Amino acid sequence: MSEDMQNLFDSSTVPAPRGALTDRIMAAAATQTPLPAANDRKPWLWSAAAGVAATLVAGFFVLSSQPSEAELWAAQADAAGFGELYAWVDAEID
Amino acid sequence: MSDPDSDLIPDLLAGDERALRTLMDRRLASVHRLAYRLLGDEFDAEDVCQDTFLKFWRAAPGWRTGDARILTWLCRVATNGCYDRLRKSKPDLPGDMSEQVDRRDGADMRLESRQRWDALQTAMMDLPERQRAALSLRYDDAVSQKDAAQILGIGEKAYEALLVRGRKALKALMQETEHV
Repeated sequence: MSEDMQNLFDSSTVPAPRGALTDRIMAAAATQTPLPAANDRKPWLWSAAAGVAATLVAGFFVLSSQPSEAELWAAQADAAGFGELYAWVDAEID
Repeated sequence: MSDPDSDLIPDLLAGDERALRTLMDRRLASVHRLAYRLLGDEFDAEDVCQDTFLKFWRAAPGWRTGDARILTWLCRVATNGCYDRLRKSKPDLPGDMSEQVDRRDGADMRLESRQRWDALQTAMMDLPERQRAALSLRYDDAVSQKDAAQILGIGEKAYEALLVRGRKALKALMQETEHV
């Protein structure tokens, strides 16, 4: 069947495109600006932006992981054996 | 993956229009054959060719060697362009096709071969568009199974199945007109 098909297509070939088509495309191409390559889009800008973003994210995590002043006082109080007393200071008074 | 058009890539990357012309000298006929078979209209086929090569021209600076052959890329873009056109408008009925062929320079087809051409193109236009594309890639341009599957965006097995169904359907349609 495959050979029959090949013969069929060979005997009914599509005509070649008209010669003017190439010129038409060339004329249109002359007015088109090629797109910049994906790896040619100011890579230094992207790396600088990525660096700033990374610094901001890291700073956020460092700050959020720092103990607060109250936690520091509590730790000091625990270390000095006055944890309960310090808890009393912090407790709400009715 | 070796690309027979790889010699043009440096000049295409540099935006050298002569390289584009050379590429068209090599590949325009193949892309046009595929588009013509899919659309059944030479003018629409030419428009698809123009869109395809211009898209390539604009994208050429970002071309990554080794991802695909240039011809495969062109055929894939052309095929999708044809599908879009087919969805937007009904294809011409095949009754007009002999006129289209007659308009060509040197198209002195004998009556018998013209009827054969009409019958094949009529039958092709009755097939689902993906079967049409599969048959054209295989029989008009002898595109390899791997490349044809890539052009159609399917696996090789699926392409093979598409081809089998297309052959069967086309033969049945051609038998109706007694051309096979």
